[in-house]
Amino acid sequence: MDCHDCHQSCHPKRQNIGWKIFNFGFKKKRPKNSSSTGRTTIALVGSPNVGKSLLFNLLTGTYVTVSNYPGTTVEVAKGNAVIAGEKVTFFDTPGMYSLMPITEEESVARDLIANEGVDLIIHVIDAKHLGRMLNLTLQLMETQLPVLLVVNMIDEAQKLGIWVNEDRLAHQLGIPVVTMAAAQKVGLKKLIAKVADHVPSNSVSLTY
Amino acid sequence: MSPQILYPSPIETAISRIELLLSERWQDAISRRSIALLLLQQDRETRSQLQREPYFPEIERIISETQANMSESLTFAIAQTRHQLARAIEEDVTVHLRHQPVVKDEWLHQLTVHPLTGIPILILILYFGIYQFVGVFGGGTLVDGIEGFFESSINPVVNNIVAAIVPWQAIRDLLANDYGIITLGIRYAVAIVLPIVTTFFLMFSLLEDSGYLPRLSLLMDRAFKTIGLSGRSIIPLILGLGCGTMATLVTRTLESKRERIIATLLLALTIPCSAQLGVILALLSQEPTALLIWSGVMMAIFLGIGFVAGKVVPGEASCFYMEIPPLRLPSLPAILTKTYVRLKWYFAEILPLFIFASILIWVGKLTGLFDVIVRGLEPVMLWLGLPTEAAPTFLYGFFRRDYGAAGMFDLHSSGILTGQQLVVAAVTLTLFIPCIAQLQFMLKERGIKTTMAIAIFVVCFAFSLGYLLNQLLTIMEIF
Amino acid sequence: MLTQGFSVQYSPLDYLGTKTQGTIAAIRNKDDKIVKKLLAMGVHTGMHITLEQRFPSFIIRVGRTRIAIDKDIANSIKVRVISH
Ligand SMILES: Nc1nc2c(ncn2[C@@H]2O[C@H](COP(=O)(O)OP(=O)(O)OP(=O)(O)O)[C@@H](O)[C@H]2O)c(=O)[nH]1
Ligand SMILES: [Mg+2]
Repeated sequence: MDCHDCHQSCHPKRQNIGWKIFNFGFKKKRPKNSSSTGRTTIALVGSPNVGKSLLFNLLTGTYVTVSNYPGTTVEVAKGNAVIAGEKVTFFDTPGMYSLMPITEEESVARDLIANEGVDLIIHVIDAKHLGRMLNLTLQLMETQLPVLLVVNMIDEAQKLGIWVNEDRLAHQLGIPVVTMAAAQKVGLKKLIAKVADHVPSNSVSLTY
Repeated sequence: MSPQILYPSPIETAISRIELLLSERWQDAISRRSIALLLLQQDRETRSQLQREPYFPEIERIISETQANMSESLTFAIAQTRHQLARAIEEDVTVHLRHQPVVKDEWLHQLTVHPLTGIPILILILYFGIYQFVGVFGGGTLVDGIEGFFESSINPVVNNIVAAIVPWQAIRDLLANDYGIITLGIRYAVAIVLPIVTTFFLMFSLLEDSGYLPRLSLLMDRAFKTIGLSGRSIIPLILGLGCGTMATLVTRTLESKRERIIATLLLALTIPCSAQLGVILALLSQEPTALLIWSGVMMAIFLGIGFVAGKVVPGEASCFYMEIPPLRLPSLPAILTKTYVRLKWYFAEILPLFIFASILIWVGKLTGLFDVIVRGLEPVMLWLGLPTEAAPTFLYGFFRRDYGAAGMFDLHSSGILTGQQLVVAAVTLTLFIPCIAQLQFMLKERGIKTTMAIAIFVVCFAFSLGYLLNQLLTIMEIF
Repeated sequence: MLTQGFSVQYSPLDYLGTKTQGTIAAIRNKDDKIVKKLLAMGVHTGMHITLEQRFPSFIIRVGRTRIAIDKDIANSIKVRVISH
């Protein structure tokens, strides 16, 4: 339910212009977003209602609507933060269950990843539904883009008696993992530290 | 490093073959393996991107060959492989302490979703949340308080100051007096719209954060299927009771184009926004028959139009699925922040329009154009059995629904609208054209053709229905 | 529903009573999108499923996930019943 965001959010081209360019043999590996601005871009993606928008608010200080039902966010929102001394752009995206979009707003998130390209994907999942949501993690890893996994809502999981071993999960997947409870800001520092690993000290040099 | 998922060997072979075909031209943000997998799962978007490539038929052949070699569908096999790996990892990295069965909030969930208890709970929420809190408290108590303060303390002062420092009558009228920016535009926004919209957004945020809305969706799904919608549409429709403009944007969450069109139509036609709703509830609460007729008529139109639209709008019947999140205790800071941000958005959107409307009316009055339009509307008013003084209200209503509603409030307090007229005006204004902002969003979301069709339909329908209602009420002699 | 005739071991979810538990034996729907959606939401064959409510909507529990679905989608989930 994010009407008000639309005024501050950007609309990474939702139409398929990107694809068309690629079809004519455009060769570029570096994501468009970062190469055009020279700034690190990070997308928060994941199933609906896992806390992406809440996390986005914490990371960027820009408010986008958070509410307890799937499908709150319908548009990509953009916000900036300074991490490791560098300016970083975060994107909050509508929830998606898999890389194959079905509803209109689901394809927005997919397009951002597949067409616009980002420097880092933060995949946010719900600790209570780890197994189910790792499905998308695996799909995201297959894209070969850098993925950081956030296992959110550990507070609720712990109430159900579920404990997630962060290191072991990171080892199993081979990607950085942070367990956290965004609602209580637990694990936020740890997350920022891990994101910092993906922010090059001089992001311009990354471009090519 | 990362565990490369190994799919069943026919799939792996197909992936390599497709990767090879893609290797000539395809260089994208995501890996070829990913793209190959999407193609094997018949992903529509990826297919349409590649359709024109010379090697596409070859890809198609690989896919159908592979499918022929497998007993289950490719989508299925791929999903199953990932699923098993994901489960295995979950097993490995989680500790599940056998806890006492967690049924703390379970009873509350059961109460909200069981039809026998869920429907009464819904009625209670509507009665206390919307009628009492938004209508009676927001639209009545708060509006009366602030409005009274404006009338008694602010407007006279503004009028005096302006009269003292501005020598020209025309400029005085722009800022103050009956249609001035401050005395009309700002007053409408602050005294009438603000309290109602604030109370509505507070209540809505509470519903959102508690997790009640998904439960409401599942309660309503069956009923909504008869009007061509699914339970999912309850969320934009309820938000529409707050602001139709926001709600039009949110119709994006709906599954099919058909559903989005029907929801947009119902939002434009039958769902009053909170300012209208608040004013109407507050005004009509003093006349129970009027309130009953208004809500009965609106409900009937909602169902009737929905039913017809469900039959007429092309497309497949919608399906309904929704994950039900746990009920959560909303946190007060979160609700206040959300309400604040929404209000900020809302006022950024409406204040310029209110001021603009005041200016337009001022220009219109100066040039005499306003009077021409109002005079043009007067026969329509008579046709609806309304006093000619109601004409400007309809004109405002076009700028903003809430502006029109606020105008109605003024008419009622000066004793111009009563009984039957109040009902007819309320019904016609509720149905009447979505305001400019909503029209703008409809254009953005649905395109020009659908928007025009809906707008024309809404105007014709609103006035014809107003006419019919007036005739009917006159014959039945209810008032 | 003649199409279900060939299978005797399992029945579509919408034929079952409230509180039935079972294992998902198959997911079939003429609309491919629905199958994909269910898979994406974590409804896979072999998983344990509980039917919590039938009316006004079907509510199922798969693992720790609770999902509301309509009759048509319920029909596409075929369940091997374990207990009532
Ligand atoms: N208990 C708890 N609740 C959380 C946590 N993180 C988020 N939430 C709640 O989860 C709900 C969903 O949060 P959102 O940020 O709106 O989720 P989202 O991923 O943006 O959802 P969509 O926009 O629908 O895709 C809200 O009610 C949050 O308050 C957490 O760590 N612990
Ligand atoms: Mg969100």
